[in-house]
Amino acid sequence: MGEAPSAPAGSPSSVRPLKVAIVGSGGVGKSVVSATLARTLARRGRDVLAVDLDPNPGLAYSLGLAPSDAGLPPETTIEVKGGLYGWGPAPEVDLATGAMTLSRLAPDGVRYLSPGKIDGKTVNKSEVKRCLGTVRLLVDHLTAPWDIVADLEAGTTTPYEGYARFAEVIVVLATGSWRSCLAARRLCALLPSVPLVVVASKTAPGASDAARWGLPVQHHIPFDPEVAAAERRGLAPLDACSDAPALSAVASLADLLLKVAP
Amino acid sequence: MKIVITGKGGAGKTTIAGALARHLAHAGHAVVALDCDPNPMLGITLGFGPERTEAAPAVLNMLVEMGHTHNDPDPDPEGLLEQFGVEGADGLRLLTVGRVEQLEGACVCCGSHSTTRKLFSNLPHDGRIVLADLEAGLNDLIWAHPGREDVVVAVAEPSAKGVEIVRRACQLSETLGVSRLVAVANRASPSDAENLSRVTGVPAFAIPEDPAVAAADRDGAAPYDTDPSTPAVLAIGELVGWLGVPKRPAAEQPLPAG
Ligand SMILES: Nc1ncnc2c1ncn2[C@@H]1O[C@H](COP(=O)(O)OP(=O)(O)OP(=O)(O)O)[C@@H](O)[C@H]1O
Ligand SMILES: Nc1ncnc2c1ncn2[C@@H]1O[C@H](COP(=O)(O)OP(=O)(O)O)[C@@H](O)[C@H]1O
Ligand SMILES: [Mg+2]
Ligand SMILES: [Mg+2]
Repeated sequence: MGEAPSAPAGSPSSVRPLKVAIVGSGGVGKSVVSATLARTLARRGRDVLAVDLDPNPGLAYSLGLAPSDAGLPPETTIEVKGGLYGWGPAPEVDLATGAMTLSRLAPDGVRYLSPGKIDGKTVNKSEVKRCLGTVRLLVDHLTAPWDIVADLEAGTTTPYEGYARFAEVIVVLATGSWRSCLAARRLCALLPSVPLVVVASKTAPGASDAARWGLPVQHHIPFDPEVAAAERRGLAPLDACSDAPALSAVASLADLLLKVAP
Repeated sequence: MKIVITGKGGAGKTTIAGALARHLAHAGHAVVALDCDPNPMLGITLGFGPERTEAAPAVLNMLVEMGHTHNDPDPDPEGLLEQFGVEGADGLRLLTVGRVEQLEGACVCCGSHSTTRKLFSNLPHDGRIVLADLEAGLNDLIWAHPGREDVVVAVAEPSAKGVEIVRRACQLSETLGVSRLVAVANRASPSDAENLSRVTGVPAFAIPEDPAVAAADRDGAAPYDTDPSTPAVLAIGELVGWLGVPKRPAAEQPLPAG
């Protein structure tokens, strides 16, 4: 893959968009990192679409957006033979911009796109499938120069199923635990061949456990009691503790990603 | 008796499933531990160690290799258990459902995949205890489809997201007709459990934050083996009583004559 010249910073229209997926085993901090990364990029004047690819509640809390189970309005999707899960965008939806027009406004001007949530009342997943297939196609086809930050479901299944295929760089999160590092290794083995950035998340001060398990760790996000306390209350870390060290670590992750992305 | 363990990612499902299975097997129960996470880790918390956990055959991968498709009838779960189950401490058997990163292009959304995802419901109710450790989130709970005779254990760390997912898991279980439902507040205080019980409307049990569990995990070991009397492992032992499992298995049933 050839190196693209880096665009001058600070002029959003000429900035090459960052298209990043965040993966990792359960509870490693994917939603915290996705939300903070999205808002950090938006605060720098970039146009950012945060895509929630997890049908379980999560990303909206960390973004500071009132959680909602709503997916896409019925008139925006149609059944298509051979489409993802048999569904795709309706003809009226512009493929190139649909991901933006169907998104909701979140703090700092981030746009939030969600295929909806499994609501606990119905055991029929057809509603989530209808929206998920469409959201994935729209994200693949978005041509506007927007950053995309996608928060994937825990584990290896959806990365295996190609949920990260829009991404030009993928962040693989692991904590100090043996199991999350094993999951990270499994993820590295199955992800598409784009640059992978392995990040040790929720690390203890001075610890290098993830490195200990043979992962090429490129960045650390410390375990931060203020972040944990904010999440306990369901608040966005950036709203509850904007000076927390873990959040500065996400800001420097943004710099790293902009350097690494093709 | 059949038990499923569900909850948010990282809430402690696998930790609890592993120690619970060990407690039950130690008390003399015949235990089948079903690792339903396609990113399987249950072998670690059961005490198989990293190498044996990685080497355990996975049903989905074996079926794909054997050319099994969604047009074929579901294989007999007993046969799969016999063929692919591996034996651990106190006679417990671990059956690993799938290992996604080794599938190399096979479809996981239908066919063999749903076959393996139906393993839990296809195993009969008998004297054994089937303990299924699910993949994170509500999707796998719907796949496992627990029913009236099953027990659901829904695990949350005391975070807003974790509690909300467990609230939904309890609601889903009730919709499915599950009559015995326990919420677990993991890495939590008794007051966190009270809060969880209030939100979900089901009894909730607290398991404390325990550095010994984290230490075992850093080494790829089972907490039950590193220290069976550490607070979290003891608490998981007490959880057994909440599930309606007899402390000791019923005496061997005489085989029907004939
Ligand atoms: N840097 C951090 N410092 C302290 N706690 C953190 C940090 N990052 C995340 N957490 C805690 O870890 C928990 C899990 O985080 P989060 O929900 O972002 O994980 P996730 O990977 O999205 O989980 P899931 O797999 O369930 O989607 C949160 O409740 C939060 O309290
Ligand atoms: N009671 C506890 N005390 C300390 N650490 C725990 C406790 N329960 C779980 N953990 C740790 O939390 C992490 C996630 O647990 P795990 O069982 O893998 O969750 P899940 O199966 O729900 O994804 C692991 O690193 C585990 O060691
Ligand atoms: Mg999440
Ligand atoms: Mg698990």
